[in-house]
Amino acid sequence: MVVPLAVVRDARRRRWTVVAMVTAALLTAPLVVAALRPSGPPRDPAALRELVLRSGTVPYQGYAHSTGALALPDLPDLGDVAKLFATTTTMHAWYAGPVRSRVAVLTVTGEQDLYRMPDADYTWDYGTRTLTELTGTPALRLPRASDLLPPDLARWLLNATPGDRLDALPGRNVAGVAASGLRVVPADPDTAIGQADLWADPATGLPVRVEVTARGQRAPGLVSTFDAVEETAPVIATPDLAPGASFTLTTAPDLSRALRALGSARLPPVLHGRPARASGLDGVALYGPGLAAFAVVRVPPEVAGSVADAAATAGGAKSALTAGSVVVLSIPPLSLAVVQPHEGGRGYLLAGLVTPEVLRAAAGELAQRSGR
Amino acid sequence: MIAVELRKLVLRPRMWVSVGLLCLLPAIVAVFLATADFAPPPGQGAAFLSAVVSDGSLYPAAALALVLPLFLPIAVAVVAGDAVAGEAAGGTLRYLLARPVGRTRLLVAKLVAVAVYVTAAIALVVLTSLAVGVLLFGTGGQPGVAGGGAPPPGVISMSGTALSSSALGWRLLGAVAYIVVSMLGFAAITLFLSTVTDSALGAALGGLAVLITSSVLETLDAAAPAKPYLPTHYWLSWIDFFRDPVLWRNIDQGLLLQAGYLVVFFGAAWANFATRDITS
Repeated sequence: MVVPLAVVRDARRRRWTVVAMVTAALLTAPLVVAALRPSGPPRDPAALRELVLRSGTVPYQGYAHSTGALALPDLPDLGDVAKLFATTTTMHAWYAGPVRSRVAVLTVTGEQDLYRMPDADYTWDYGTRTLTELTGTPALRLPRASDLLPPDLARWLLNATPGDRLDALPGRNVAGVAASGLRVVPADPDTAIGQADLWADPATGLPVRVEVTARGQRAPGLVSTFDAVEETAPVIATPDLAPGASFTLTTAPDLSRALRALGSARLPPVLHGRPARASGLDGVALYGPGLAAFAVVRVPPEVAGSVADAAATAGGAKSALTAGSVVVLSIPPLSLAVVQPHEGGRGYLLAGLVTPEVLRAAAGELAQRSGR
Repeated sequence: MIAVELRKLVLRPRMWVSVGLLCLLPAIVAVFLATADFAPPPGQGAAFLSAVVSDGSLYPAAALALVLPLFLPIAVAVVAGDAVAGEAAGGTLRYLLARPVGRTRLLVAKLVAVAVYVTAAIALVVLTSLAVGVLLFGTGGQPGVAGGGAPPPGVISMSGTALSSSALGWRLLGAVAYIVVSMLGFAAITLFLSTVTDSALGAALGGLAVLITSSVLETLDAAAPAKPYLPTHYWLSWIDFFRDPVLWRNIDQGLLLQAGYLVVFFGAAWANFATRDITS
C-alpha cells in the first residue's frame, strides 16, 4: 500500500506538535507552580524584626545554600573560611533549639557536620573520618558554614544593627514559605554594608532568605536561602563514634590556632577611637560596635608576610606607615589589612565589614605602637 | 523485538570491549592505591577513594564515582548513537523495518536494549570492583594485602554513622538504579540524534557534545538559573544515598529531570523516526 505524501506530512506535524506541547508543559510547569505560590503579606518592619529576633526557639529542618561573591585571596590557614564567602555552600540543617541542632555541609566528595548538643559541640569530618568533641565556647571564633544559614545570619545582622533604619520589602515565596520582607540600612558610615534584606515567616519569624549588599553595590555579595524547609522539630541524637573512625577532644579556640595568634603582647585598649571588646583570647581583640566592628590578630612575621603577599596578589594596595607598611584589600563589604612593622617585628591582621579607611587608620596606630 | 535487540547487543564484541574497559579503570586505580598504600588526601580525588583503603567493600561506590563523570556516558553515547544510525549506516534499517513491526516498537526495543546495556555495565563494574576491592583492601576485620597498616576497618556513611552490610547493599542498589535512570536520560538524547543522522559516530559525538556543554555550563556561575535543567546537574546525587539520613531531595529532583529528558527526547526520536524516509 502506498501512503500519500500529504498523510505522512500530517502525521509528522501531529507528532512534532505533541512533542512540542509536552516539552512546553514540562518547561513551564515549574514556573507556573512558582508563580502560583502565595507571597507573604506586608508586615510592620519593626514588628517583624522583633519576631525574627525571638525566633531562636522555632524548630526547623531544611536544605539551604549560601552563595558568596567575595573574591577573597588565598589566605594561608584560612582557606575554608574564604571559601564560605567566595563559593556556594550547600547545607542540610536540623534545628530543635539553641542547644540541639545539626548542620551538615554537603560536598560531592564528603560531608562535614556540626552538632550542638546540651553537653558539648561535636564536629564530624568525612574526609579525615574524625569525630571531634569541642568543649568550651570561645568568645571569638572564625565564621563557619552554620553561621550562614538564613536564621543565624538574619539574627546576627539584626542584633548588630539595633536602631538602624528599617524598611518593609514586598513579600515573596521562599521554599514554599509565604514570607514577609524587611530591609535594614545601617546608619554607621564606617560599615561597608549598604543594606541587608531578609524574608521571614510572618507567623513564626523564622528567616528563610537573607541578601547582604555592600555599600555602593547593586547585586548582593552574599545570599543565603532555604531551598526546602519544614517548621517541624527534628530528632537529633548525640553522634556515636563509628568503628574505624577517629575521635579527638579539643578545647582550643580555633581562631587563635588557625592564625597562630601571639599572646605575648597585649593589644591596645582603644584603636581608632573604638574600645576593645574582650575576646577571651590573647593576641586577639574585637574593636567597635555592631557591623562597624573589626577584628585584630597579632601574628608572627611569616604569617603576616604570606597574608600580605596573598592580599597584594589579589589587588591589595600597599602603603608605607610611620613604622612599617600595610597592605589593604577591599572586597566589599569586607576589608582586610596586614601590618608589617619594620625590622621583622610581629605583624597584625585586621578584618571587618568596615570601609578600608577605618582599617588603614587602625593599622597606622598599630604600626606606630610597634615602632616605639 | 526486544529479545532480538538484546541478542544483537550481546553478540556485538564492541559491547564487551566497552564493558571491559569500564571495569578496567577502577581496577587500575585500585592496584595503584594498594601498591602505594595511601589514599588521596581528604576532599581530593573521586568520592569514597580516601575511605576504601580501610574497607574494600566500599570500593564499588568509589568505582561508580570514577566511571560516572566520563567513561560511562561515553559508552552510553556509543551504544545509543549506534542504535538506529548504525543500522542505517550498515544498510540493515530497511530490512529491519520490512518486518511486520511498527517503528515505535523498534524504537522502544532499542531504548530497552540501551537500558539493559547500562544496567549490565554498571552491575559488572560494581561486581568486579567489589571483588578487586575486597581482594586488595580486605573487609571489616580482615585487612587485605595493602590493609595491614591502614586504620581500623569499617564502612562509615558520609555522615559518620556505621553502615551494616545490608544497609550498604541497599544504598548501593539505590545508587545503581539512580545512575541507570541518569544514563537513560542521556541515552534518550543520543537516541534522538541517532534517528536524525545515518552516522553512528556523528550521533555519539553529538551526545558527547551535549555532555561537555552541560558540564561546562555547570561550572559557570552566570548559568545558575539554567543549572537545575542541565542533564548532568544531578548526576552525582547518587552520592546522597551514602549520607545519613539519605538526602532524597536531590535524588528526587534528579529522577524527575531525567524523566523529563526521557519523555522529551524519546518523544522527539519517535516523532522523527516514525515518519522518516528510510533510504538505507
